[in-house]
Amino acid sequence: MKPNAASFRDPCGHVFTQDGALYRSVREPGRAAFAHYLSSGLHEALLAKGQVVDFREVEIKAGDAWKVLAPEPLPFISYPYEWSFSQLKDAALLTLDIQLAALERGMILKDASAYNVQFHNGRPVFIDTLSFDLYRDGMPWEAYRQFVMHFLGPLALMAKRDVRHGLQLRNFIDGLPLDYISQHLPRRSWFKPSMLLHIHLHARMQQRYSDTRQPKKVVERKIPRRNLIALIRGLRMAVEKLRLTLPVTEWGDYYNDTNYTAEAFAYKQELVKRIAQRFTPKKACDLGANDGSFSQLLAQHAGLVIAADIDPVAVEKHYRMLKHKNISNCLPLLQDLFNPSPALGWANTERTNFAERAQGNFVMGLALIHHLCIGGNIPIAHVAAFFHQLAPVALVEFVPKEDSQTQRLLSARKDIFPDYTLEQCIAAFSVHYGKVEQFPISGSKRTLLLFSGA
Amino acid sequence: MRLFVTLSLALLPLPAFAYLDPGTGSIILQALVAGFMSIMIFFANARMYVRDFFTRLFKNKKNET
Repeated sequence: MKPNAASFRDPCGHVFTQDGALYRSVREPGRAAFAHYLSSGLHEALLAKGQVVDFREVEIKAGDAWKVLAPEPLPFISYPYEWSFSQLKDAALLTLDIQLAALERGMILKDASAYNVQFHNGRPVFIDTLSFDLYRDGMPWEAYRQFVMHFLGPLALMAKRDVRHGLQLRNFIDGLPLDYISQHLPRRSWFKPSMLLHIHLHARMQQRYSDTRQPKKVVERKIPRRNLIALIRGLRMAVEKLRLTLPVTEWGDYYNDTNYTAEAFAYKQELVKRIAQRFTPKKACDLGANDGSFSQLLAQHAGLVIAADIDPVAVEKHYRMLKHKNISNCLPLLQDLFNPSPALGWANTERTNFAERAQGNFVMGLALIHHLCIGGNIPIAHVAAFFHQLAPVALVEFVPKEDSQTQRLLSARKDIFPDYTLEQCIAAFSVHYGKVEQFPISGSKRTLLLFSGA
Repeated sequence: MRLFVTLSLALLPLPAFAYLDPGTGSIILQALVAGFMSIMIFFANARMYVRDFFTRLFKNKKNET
């Protein structure tokens, strides 16, 4: 039995693995709430809407556990600092909808952490079965501040200031501090009631009462249920109203600005499709996925495609497109390959690094390698080693120096890359992969390289 | 001093089994905002009710003529 490194805060139960399977224990302090979660029909109701992960009760012994559950396994765990604006927004709305449903059945969410939400089959789902507590009349929502720090605050900053504020969730692992959010929002946000109440005044109240030695009667304030529901509805409206207008970024308009002819582009699509069909990977990773045009081709023949890109606008566009097309096995993810998500949190084990989570059966890097090698000075041997760390099959597009995109990267700098050649690229990957297949893309100077075998 | 610390701890504004620290300021604000939101929703509902009432009245009159 191996305890999950991210599950130690809640005394009501813990997540652990045993013989490769994931389990959740329910301990005595969580017994009454869990029993009510089932008997009130809340679990059934949320499950029917696809809002929570399912579980089954299993008969295994786990310390002092009262019950052990086997939750439905998720193929990939992502973190809020890797989500686009709309992904975080959908996770926020899900949390509030679940909170409203819980209040209808005598329960309340005891936390509002963005880490309680995962993306599964194209939609956000709530994974923390033990987050539901019994609601007593007059109780406040203890996770109100956490909701603002994990969701409303970051979303407001992303929408009203700069979408890159979302990345701060990586530094502030329990959500952005209220005073940080308040300080960085534009002044005009003071005139918006939702921002004024939930963020600016909230931050000030927080500061004013930061000395915890306040008389007890002040905090034993009762909030009628009707008012609590109004608060949640108000929060929902505030989140719903936040919209991200898409700016044009470096990559946002990439496909309208490449040197591909229509035929070469179609040929590349056909090749990717054929190769995907040949390998039908269970879990694949598309690095530098941009808005996901090729990830979606791969997804037609894959179990799950993780589509990572450095550009928040491209990831946002991709997520919106997938929702529109109803594609459920592709997960857009914000990821800077020069600095992928590290291991974070307590003892550096709470949040797993990207490379470990992304390991799968197939990795693809199209129109990427010149950015890594020439744009970022990464030696090609390091690129090959990273690809091999992710998957035993790699599809790589080599973009030679003669290509106009590479020329653009070289235009303002000295060419210090004598090793950046097709031959050297093949040699570097061949250290890790036994077999190479070359597919020159007719109508362009580029070559698709497929590496496989040990 | 010891008495002071003990008293302060006893008066800590945390419910005994709280899993999160809700924050004193946050709870006070929450009570105020929740009340405010409730009033807003009451007036929004009232406005809708009055509007619906007149719309219906208007429609009925139209039907009669």
